[in-house]
Amino acid sequence: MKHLLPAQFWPLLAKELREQSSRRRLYTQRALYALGLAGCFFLFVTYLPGNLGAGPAQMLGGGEVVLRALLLVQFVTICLVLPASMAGAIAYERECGTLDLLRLTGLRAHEILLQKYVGRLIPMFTMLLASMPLLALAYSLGGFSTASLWCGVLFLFLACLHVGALAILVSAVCDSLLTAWIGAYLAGALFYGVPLALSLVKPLVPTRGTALPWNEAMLLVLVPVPGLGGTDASSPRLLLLRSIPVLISTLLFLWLAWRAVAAPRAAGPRRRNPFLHVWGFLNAEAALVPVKSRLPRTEPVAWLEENKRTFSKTQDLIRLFLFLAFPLLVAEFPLELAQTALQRSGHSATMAALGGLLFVLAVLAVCASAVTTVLEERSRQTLDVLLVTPLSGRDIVRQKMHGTWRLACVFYAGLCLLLLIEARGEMSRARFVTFLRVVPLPLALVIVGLVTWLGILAWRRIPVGRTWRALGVAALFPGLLLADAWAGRAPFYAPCVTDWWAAGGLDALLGTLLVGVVTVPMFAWVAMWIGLNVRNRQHAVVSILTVLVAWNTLPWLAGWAFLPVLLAIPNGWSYVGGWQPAFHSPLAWLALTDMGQAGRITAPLFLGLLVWHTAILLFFRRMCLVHADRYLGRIPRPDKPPQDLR
Amino acid sequence: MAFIEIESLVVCYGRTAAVKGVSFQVPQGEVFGFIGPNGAGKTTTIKALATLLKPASGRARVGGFEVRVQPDRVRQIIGYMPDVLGLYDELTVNEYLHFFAAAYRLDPDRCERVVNDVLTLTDLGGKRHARIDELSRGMQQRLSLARVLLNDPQCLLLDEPASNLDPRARIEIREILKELQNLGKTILISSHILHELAQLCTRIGIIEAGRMVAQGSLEEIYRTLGLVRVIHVQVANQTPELLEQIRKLDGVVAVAVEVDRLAIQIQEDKLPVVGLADRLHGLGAQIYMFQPQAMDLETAFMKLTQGKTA
Repeated sequence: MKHLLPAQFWPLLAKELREQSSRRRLYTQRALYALGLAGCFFLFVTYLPGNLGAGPAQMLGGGEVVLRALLLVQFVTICLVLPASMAGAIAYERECGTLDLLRLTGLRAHEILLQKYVGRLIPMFTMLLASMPLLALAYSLGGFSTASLWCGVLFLFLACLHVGALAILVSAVCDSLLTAWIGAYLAGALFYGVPLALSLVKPLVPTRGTALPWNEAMLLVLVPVPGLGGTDASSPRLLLLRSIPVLISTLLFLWLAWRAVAAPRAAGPRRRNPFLHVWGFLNAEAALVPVKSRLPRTEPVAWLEENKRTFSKTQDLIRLFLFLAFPLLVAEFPLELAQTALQRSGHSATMAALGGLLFVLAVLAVCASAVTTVLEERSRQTLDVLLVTPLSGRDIVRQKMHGTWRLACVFYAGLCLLLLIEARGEMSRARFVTFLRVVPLPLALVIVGLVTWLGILAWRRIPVGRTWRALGVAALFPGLLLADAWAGRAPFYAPCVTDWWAAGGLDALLGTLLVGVVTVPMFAWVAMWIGLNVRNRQHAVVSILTVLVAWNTLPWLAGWAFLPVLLAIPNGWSYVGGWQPAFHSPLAWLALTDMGQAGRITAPLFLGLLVWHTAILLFFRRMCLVHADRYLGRIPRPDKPPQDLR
Repeated sequence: MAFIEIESLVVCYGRTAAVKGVSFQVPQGEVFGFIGPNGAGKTTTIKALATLLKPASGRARVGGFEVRVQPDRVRQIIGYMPDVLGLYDELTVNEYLHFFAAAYRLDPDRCERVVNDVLTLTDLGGKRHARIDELSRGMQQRLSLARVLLNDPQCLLLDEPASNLDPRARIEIREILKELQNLGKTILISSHILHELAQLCTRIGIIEAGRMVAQGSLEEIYRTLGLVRVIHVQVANQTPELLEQIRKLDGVVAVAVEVDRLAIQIQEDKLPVVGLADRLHGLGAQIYMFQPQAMDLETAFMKLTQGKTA
């Protein structure tokens, strides 16, 4: 590689690759990924449809299923790993002040951007190479052509380009690694997650006896890469044609990123977060609390977290809530539409997907906040001056978590809103039937979007003070809910909650309760523990990401692995409960309970999980608080004097 | 009684010993200058005293409290200013000082008065509501010093307080430190600007490769090293005979004839500077300029150190 990339031609790329190749953890991660992928492959092969307990002959022709499953796993890996790696590409340089130094050299903005981009893509490509032998094995099972194989490879390649371009765009507009990291995942979730969740409505929505004229091209343009995944893999020409939107949007992201890198920054204090800027624009800079804050009196670190940290300030949290609430409320509309058309009650896949998405966002945001809170102090070199004050390490850690809990509360509010929406979805379905027959769904969405946008524009032009705007925003949600209750001619929500409860709402409530009360705080304390022990921010971010993925997927995989054992035992499935190991994965728990498929959850199992996760939470909390002084890097008060001083 | 006592202090980073058996004492109210090349162990020693690094062995006491046994007590009586300033850019000066006042658990009713006092002392009253990232480097340094003074510490541990400052800001910091010295604070200060330490410090410690190579007052160090003192003299009746007579004086090491003066090198223990003028006059010299060269810390530093790191 040294000879292929002479430093005089590609200095930044050569430096990036050398830097990454000297990190030992990269090889560990690749090895773990290859092992995990191999494990997945054998699970897919073992559980090929109709293959359970059958001989090898029955496996023939099942390669396509395995291929699709492998592609899905790799796409999820790309979505999880690449934003973390790409987010730091420009933002970290800017945070360290080295971007300006780079720009003072002969390197031009587009060279910096492209070399950084390629420098982060190459390790991802090499990681994906681990799947090559497995794809060959899948091919040997038969069931798909070489064209399908190449389509799969092209799909992964385009996914890398696209996800990487979106992440580097976020990195280019952000001033700090933390913002870029959160932003990259948030942008990814919005860009891929929300339209995908909406697309789940599609199979639920028949009209006039046939499917609604849902325009697949719209989905393809909105979410090009996952849209590609749904393409018939045996048609490379169609895939190439459909990859045009992907390439166009990738180039667009790179062009925007180039503009952000090339634009000179104004002197003076740091800029505001671009995400907050966008949402500040949309909610008309509404501030529900005065901008001026009180001075600290008793808990200074908590005050600092509350008033000065991004995504902990009250205004930021309000904006974040609006940011979460809008898609939820928008998603509710097509959901009702679908359920109305089917005259169906209970839980929907859309709500389950939104719940899962919200959980993933909550955990990612809370972990990002907890893992970086101490590391920010280290990187700003303010930790030492804090440590020589009489504040105990325990106090510092406890108060540092204050900001994280505030952030978590926003997601709790989002989860509660989701539950409320689910509950109220049971009522007043009939009023949509007439509307549905007249207006097709895409048109309805466009109308809703236009009306919302016009409303925002009008809102911004109304010459009223900030306080009135704030009151307006505060009144918006309760107002909507009340209007909705009136339109449904239901005295608030009591009857519909009863229906919802009967339709499996208890499961959803238990799932949300476990997630809200135990799982999110548990991950937050694990993240804090990592943040206290790891000195480098990028290492810490990668570590917590690895922990999250492993924690959420390994029990699920273990559940599958135990399946043959359970099947071998007479009535083993009903006796032991094949899903039990899977419930140790919080995401699996949430998904199953939200989809109303948690019928096998018994009270002892629920209590056991509650106790188990609470024990983990308490363990990490205790570790963080008791050993805070040592982790933070100062002399703890000894229980007894050191031996040489006695 | 010594306020800071260090005895055979050893501090390690993993397997590497950064400080290897350093010992020194700083009496109450004195200013101790800590000098040494980069990587000598100055910052490590100061961090150990500030309870930020645990000594592997040896004793380190501040105000009678052992840092390994009573770190909480030590933190209450020290003010530590690291070589990096440790400022929160997004806060205003007022918020920053109130933040640390709360961290030092000052009575909330007293906070405002204390903040006003330290702002006045550091001459930052006019910048109370300015954001920290809008301040100049010198002002940020003074703000850092203001933060150190919030809890009225008896002992100040200052790591390179005048680094990266322009001459005016450096003089301002020096004046504040002199004022603090007059208030009876014990100050341990490390710096690379040697002539400033010479002006400010009552005692000097020179450290290299984790070991103390010399300590004491500047005069004591000079005497220990056997360094000669240079006296510049202009004589109206300079003759070869007179020069020969001067060279023969007991305690004179050498006499160099420069363009407009004589540079007489003397050993102070044999021939005090005070007596030299009389002796020259006794030899018939008509003196119209007599100027002892200032103690040269740089010479001592260069003689004592070889640029080794721990």
